[in-house]
Amino acid sequence: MSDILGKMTAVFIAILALIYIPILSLSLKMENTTRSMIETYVTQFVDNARATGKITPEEYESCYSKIALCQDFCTLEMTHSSRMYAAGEEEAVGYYSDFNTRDILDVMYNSDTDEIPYEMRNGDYFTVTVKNAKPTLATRLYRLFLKRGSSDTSIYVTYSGIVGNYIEVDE
Amino acid sequence: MKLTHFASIIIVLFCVVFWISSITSQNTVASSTSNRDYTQIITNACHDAIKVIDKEKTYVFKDESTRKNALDIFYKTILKGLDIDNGLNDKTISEKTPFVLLIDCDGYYLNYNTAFDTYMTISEPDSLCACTGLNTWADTYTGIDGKKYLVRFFLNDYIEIITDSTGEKFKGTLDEAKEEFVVLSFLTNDYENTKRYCIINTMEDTINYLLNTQNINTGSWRMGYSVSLSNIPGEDWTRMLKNPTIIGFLQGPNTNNLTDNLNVYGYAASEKLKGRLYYSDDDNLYYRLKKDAVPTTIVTYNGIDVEVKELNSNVGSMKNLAEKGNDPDITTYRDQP
Repeated sequence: MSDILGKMTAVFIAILALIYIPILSLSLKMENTTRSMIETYVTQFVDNARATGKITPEEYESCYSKIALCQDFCTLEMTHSSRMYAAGEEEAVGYYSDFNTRDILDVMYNSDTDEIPYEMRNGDYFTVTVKNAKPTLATRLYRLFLKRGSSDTSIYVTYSGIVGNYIEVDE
Repeated sequence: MKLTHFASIIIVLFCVVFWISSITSQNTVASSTSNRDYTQIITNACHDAIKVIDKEKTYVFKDESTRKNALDIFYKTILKGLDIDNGLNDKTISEKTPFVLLIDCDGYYLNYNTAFDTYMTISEPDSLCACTGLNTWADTYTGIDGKKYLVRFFLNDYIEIITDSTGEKFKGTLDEAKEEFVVLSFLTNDYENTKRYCIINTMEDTINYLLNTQNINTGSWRMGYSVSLSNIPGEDWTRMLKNPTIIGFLQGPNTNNLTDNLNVYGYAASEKLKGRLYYSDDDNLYYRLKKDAVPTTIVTYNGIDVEVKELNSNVGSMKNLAEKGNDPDITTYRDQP
């Protein structure tokens, strides 16, 4: 009996050593590579939008499809912080008003018209955040034995910057 | 010992070693990824802040308002980059940036934390940053007559010399100083080099002090920074003085590997060059600031005609309109910037 138990344990450890650990290691490395690639695509997309001052549907779709090829079930959130001014008691008051992904997509994919670019102004901020909506293979494998309560988000890429190359400064 | 037992021990050992090395390498990878992210954020912040300056001005950081604008944009970009946008009043960002150096031809302006006392506890949470100008650098030199002279260098050709024994003070150009103080041989032989060394050494000492004492996340006395600024002679030095530059440092939270303490930080600079960004729209190439190349729309607000696209014209900007007491329509400005 004890011999059978010993053999079963040996087989289990052998499976663990020869199959599970290499796959886990590979999937962790793959996750890092995926993250780097997503970072590149996001940086490219944001930098283009910042330089031209507009987000075109083509560029958005191209970025999104490249990210989807790297990692399934990723969310791409865009935030456009627009520099606004309101009349104050003595002088104009500057503030930032945020427009999120839904607002931006509504402008770009308006059903009444053709696809139009979403325009931003000099001095605005544009931020893109990409994260995985479902746990990656590495996370799932990792959770088999360790850290069951860990977060689903293992790929989190955010990149932002100011739009244009001139800003209307506050005196 | 049976062969199966021997194989089991080898496999278990393999598992343990592989597991430990995997955890260590994952931590190292995570740390280097964070380092890359922090560098990207601080580079972006420097780059964005340098955009604010009006390069037509002779001294771009001389006014407090221009320095404030550059620093506001700098901190705002870091906040956005770290995805913790709580507004510009978020003091935690200042705690992570021990110094921001604004460089121009009239001097170096150093923005640093004043929040930490000598015991590394936050003493003045309401006044985290202070901007000081560093436009003179002084050191003591011994003349061939054996006397000591305190020499104060400026970025321009002026020089100030105080004789240590008499307290006699001289201020004038380099040529005048050469005639007056023949005993200081470096004035004739090696002036530029001596001046550059003095400036670099002072800057290094100041930056290292700020990094090692006014930095919240270094966390441990075992860890310290030693920044070395490069000594650039000749035309490159003049170019450095000519072009406004911003240098920033961002400290991240440290992580622990099994054996090492992994430090996360970013250190970057951005320089304002003469060229400006261009952008293309399929067929045409536009100069970003050339307003004529961009079509405009006239919108009327409360009887005032506003050219919406031209943000920098007298009535066309949202800011100017707001100054006239009108609240601009946000939707129109968003859709037709």
